[in-house]
Amino acid sequence: MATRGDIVDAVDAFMATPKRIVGFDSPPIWAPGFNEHERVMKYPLEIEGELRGAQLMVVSFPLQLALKFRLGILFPAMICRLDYTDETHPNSADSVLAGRCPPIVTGPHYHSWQLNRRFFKGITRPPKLHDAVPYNDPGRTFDAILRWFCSDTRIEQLPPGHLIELPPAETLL
Amino acid sequence: MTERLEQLLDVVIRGLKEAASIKIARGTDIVATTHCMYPSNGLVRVTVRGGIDSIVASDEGGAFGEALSAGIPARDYDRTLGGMVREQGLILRNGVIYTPTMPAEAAPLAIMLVANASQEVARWLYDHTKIKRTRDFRAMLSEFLMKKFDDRVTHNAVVIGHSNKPHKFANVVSLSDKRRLIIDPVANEASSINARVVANLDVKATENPLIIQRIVYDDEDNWSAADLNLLNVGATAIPFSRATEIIERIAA
Repeated sequence: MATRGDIVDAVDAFMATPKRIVGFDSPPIWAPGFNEHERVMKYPLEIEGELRGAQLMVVSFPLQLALKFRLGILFPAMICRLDYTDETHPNSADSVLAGRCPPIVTGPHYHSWQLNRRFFKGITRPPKLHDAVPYNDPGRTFDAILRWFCSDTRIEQLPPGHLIELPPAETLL
Repeated sequence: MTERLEQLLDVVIRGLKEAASIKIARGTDIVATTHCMYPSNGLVRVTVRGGIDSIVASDEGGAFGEALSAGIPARDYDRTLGGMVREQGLILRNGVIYTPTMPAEAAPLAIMLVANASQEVARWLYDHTKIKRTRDFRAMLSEFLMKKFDDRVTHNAVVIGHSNKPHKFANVVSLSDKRRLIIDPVANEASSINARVVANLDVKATENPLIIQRIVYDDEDNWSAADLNLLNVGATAIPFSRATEIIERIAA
């Protein structure tokens, strides 16, 4: 049987391998989330010329006027995620004691694979990304944050004319 | 001692208050960040809307948003999980947990009920859903064989069993010395297991020395020992994660 360690090694290798977003040159088609508050778009990630099922997931919040979204990599469960939100996120006690994370992060934060790989239980189980650090990069537009995320996860940078963008804000009637 | 305790008390009160803020949003809502935590540690938020006399509190889809952000595919859970929140008098509709209209004085209770229900629903989703693989392991196996053996692989090849019954096998590779290698993927379902074991047993009963048989199972699934033993009755079973090296060794 593939052990948990084998799978973590496979994800490590996946994260270390250069990846490319496919479909960035056509407008996103947003799928519904579980409810009206969220929309989802998934872009296939190409690795070594092949589409092996990994995806970049963008979650948008069309009812929010402020800039709010999530970016993550599905492999096929979420293995890392940047939450550009105003949410509050407490971290695990041992990560705080080890100095890896502050006790509580409020606002945009990043659940990196490196911080959360120890919580990984297998690719078909929803992973609990318990630990996050504040997102402190100066970029504060969707495009700038997407580029930062791509850079951190070894996704090839997008060309200037790419069409990945959030849907326009809607209002509740 | 008292002074130190008072300092600590100040730290605790200030810290908890900062973490669990209560704010006015959009000029119409009160948004309370509670101390309840979702499975990924995010704090549960509850939105309260209403007037002077009555309110409705809602998680604004937070429980399902937590599930979505873990990669759990969206679908309608209203009927499945409605009962879980109904016990506390709450409603789950279109993926949003909310209270019925309640007196304004009951707003604190409404917030506590919704926050805990939202947390509970998110935990249920984490504990009871599996994330589907984006690719079928059988397709991956077939693709590997095509790459490795090119035109020597026959898909859906028919092999006649000892009973004279023709059996279809997903992959049969022609090897040197007229040997044939049957590589038969099996799903972790009773019908698939039974069908593949029977087909392999029938072929094995021919005692043809030129036919080599392997059943490949997906070892990322939870297989019971009994089912794995049963696969071995049909043919030698090999885990998908080791299939590449084993098939290469046999073919060498």
